[in-house]
Amino acid sequence: MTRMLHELLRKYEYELLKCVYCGQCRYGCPTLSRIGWESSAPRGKVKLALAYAKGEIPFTEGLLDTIYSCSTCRKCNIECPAGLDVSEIIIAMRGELVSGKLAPPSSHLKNVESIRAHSNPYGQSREQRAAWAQGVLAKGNSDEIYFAGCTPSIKTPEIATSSTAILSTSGISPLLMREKENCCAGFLLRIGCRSDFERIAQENVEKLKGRRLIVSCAGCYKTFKGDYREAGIGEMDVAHLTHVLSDAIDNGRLRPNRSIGTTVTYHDPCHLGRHCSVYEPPRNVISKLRGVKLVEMKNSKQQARCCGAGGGLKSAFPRMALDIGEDRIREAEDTGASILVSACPFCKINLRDAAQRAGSSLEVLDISELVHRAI
Amino acid sequence: MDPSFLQKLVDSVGEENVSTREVDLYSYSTDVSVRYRHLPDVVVRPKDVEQISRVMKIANDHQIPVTPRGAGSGVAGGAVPVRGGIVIDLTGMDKILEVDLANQCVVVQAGVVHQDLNDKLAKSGYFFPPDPSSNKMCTLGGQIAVSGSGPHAVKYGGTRNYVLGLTIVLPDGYILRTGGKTIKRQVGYNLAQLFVGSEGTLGIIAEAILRIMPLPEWKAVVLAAYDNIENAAHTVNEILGNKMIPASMELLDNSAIKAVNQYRPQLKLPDVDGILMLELDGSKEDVKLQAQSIERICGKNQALSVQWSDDPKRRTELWEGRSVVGAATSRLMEKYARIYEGEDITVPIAKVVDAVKGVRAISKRRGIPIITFGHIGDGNLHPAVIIDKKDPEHWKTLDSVVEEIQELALSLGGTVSGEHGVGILRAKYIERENGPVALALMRQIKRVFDPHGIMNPGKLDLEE
Repeated sequence: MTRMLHELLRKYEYELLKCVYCGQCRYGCPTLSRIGWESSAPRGKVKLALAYAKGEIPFTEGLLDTIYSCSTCRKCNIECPAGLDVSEIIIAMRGELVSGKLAPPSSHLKNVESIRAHSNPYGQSREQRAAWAQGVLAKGNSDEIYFAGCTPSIKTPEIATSSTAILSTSGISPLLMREKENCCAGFLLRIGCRSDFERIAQENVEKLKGRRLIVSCAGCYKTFKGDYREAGIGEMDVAHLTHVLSDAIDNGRLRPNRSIGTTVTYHDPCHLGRHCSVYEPPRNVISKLRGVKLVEMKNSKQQARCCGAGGGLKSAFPRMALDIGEDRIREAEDTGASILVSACPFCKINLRDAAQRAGSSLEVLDISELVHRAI
Repeated sequence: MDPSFLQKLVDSVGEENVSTREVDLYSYSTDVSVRYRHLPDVVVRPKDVEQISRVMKIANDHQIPVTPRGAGSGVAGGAVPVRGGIVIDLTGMDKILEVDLANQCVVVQAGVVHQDLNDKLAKSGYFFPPDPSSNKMCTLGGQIAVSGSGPHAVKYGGTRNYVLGLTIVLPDGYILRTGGKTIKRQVGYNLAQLFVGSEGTLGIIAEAILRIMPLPEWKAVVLAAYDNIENAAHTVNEILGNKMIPASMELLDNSAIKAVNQYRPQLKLPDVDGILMLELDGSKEDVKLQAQSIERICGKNQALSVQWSDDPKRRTELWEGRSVVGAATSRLMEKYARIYEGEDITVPIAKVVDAVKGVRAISKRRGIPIITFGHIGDGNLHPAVIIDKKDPEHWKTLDSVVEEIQELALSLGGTVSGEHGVGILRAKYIERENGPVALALMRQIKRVFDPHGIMNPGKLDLEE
């Protein structure tokens, strides 16, 4: 048994012993629903982590696939009667495999290398990362920073531009980090690359501390808000865009007066909802838009189904991520809504792609885009 | 495993539905039971009856053991492949084949998850009443195989009452369709009923025709709190004595209450010695009248407080909290976890008070925590023993405690299992409870269906 595995056992030993293997965690697990084999259930993964730590099973490609077939959505945590932090156990197991140089899987390596080289997982230069912000004016001495994040900066610039536009309309002109912005490193933590995470997190704390961050990305929010603190790296003052917009609307600083005239359903991003318990601000924002009717999906808030993109699932298993996204699209369609809104760029991308593949007529938007339409 | 044998399985169900990966073999080596573990040689996930039939023919020809499995939520080791061989995971057979409202029945594949069926039926105003607490993930095939019935058996009866017909794959691969959509049927032995509770030892339940019922117009939940749990048990007897049959009557002792409050703090159950949780259903007016009568009876039996609510949200939350109390007992004490043994005793209704007292006395005498809760309305208690799994002394005490709990049930004229089944865990009680002649008959029946003894071997003490 390696030293790190010993640590996994020590850290989670009693938690693992408390698991009664009742299987309640099977309910609503997105990857189990697509894979089907017991090994893909949260219970199966916990069993395998313990068995591997105890030396009962060897490392195999099957084990690697199984441990990385998880979006860390935390649905299992919500269900677990015995109170296990199942997704943290899975992340810890990934960490053990990375420490033993057995992981991450090859599908993640280019993302990891890109973060090390350019501080974003998409292989883009720092200049390319900042391209979205050309022409966006911002005061240079603000106490607030709009931290766009890698995905809005590179993959969904419409989220970054909509966000800054509506912040500006609300009277908030935050500083932009542009090419100096780093990855938040949440992706690295969730795929088990803990030392890389800690290095970048430390850098970010030094660079950003003392200012309030506003983020559009649910993953960035969870990372800054929870993971930096839990790792003992630092406390960050961070707000999700939906917090800021909700306050601005309630205080009358933002008046989205243009009527949209549509029915909207809201998808709770796992990192904003189950991970950070942010459920009401986005709903408050949507329900205050003129002409918008907000309808809930069958599974929402704590029970919301995962979009399929998180925890490195989309980069390791893109097809499965889309399958899971398609399940969510069907649930959204059942509400009769015309627009599916989320508050996370990963959710937007995966749900948009899933809707497209499924031939759905649903329009998939980020909440910043919806609000932008209303002003 | 012989490659040519594996190839035959692949040819039967497709490569994607056969696994010999280490992670899969390990994952299918256990169920909820903690003492039993054995690796299968291969796992298959068939999609329909014909695929099961093909697999069984191959297994029978090679005399390879076969262990059928649903969601693996059984607690008695019933799905543990103790002789290796093939595990047939039926969760891939998850289609609701027909909803026949005109005949008030459904036709389902064995791997349909209980809640998925009731979610679908609710849209038409119907439901499938027997609902094990594992209903969010247990499969209907598994439920039928152990005759798991849940809290609503008080009023609606157990799973057995709802099985109208089954499609069974016999060990030689023959597909036997028995029973049908009629509520009554009396032509020879009822083979479908023989398979209810047979725990995979006779053949594989592949599909089922199940009776369904119209959803009641209204429901309410009553919470009665007691400073002496025995008064809660007395209340149950008096409610039944007054010719009232609530939809369910559940008991939670103080530790069970604490476990539920830890799992779902928003429920804020009163911190008392015991709670009765009752569900009432019927017309709106009838539910109100029932609630008033029950409130009076609870008061007469020294209930500290009685609250009732017909708010669907509150009702759903309370039942959700109740449904997982068994596993939630693991939260109660640091380093302690629940062991599912001695957990399913059922006694005649009039002996419920004695059973509750008896379990408490065992806990006190042995110095080991036993949380008491269960379907008190039908005499089915689920005592939860919690131990420090790392302490060998606790395991020794556990053995004595379990034996005493089982003995208590038998001494009160009850049974060691109301709905969880025998598997390996309770195999030693099968003769004690049924007698040697009954066991000999069961063994003969087993031989008739399964002459090579390939179906779920090592369970129910059926091997001579």
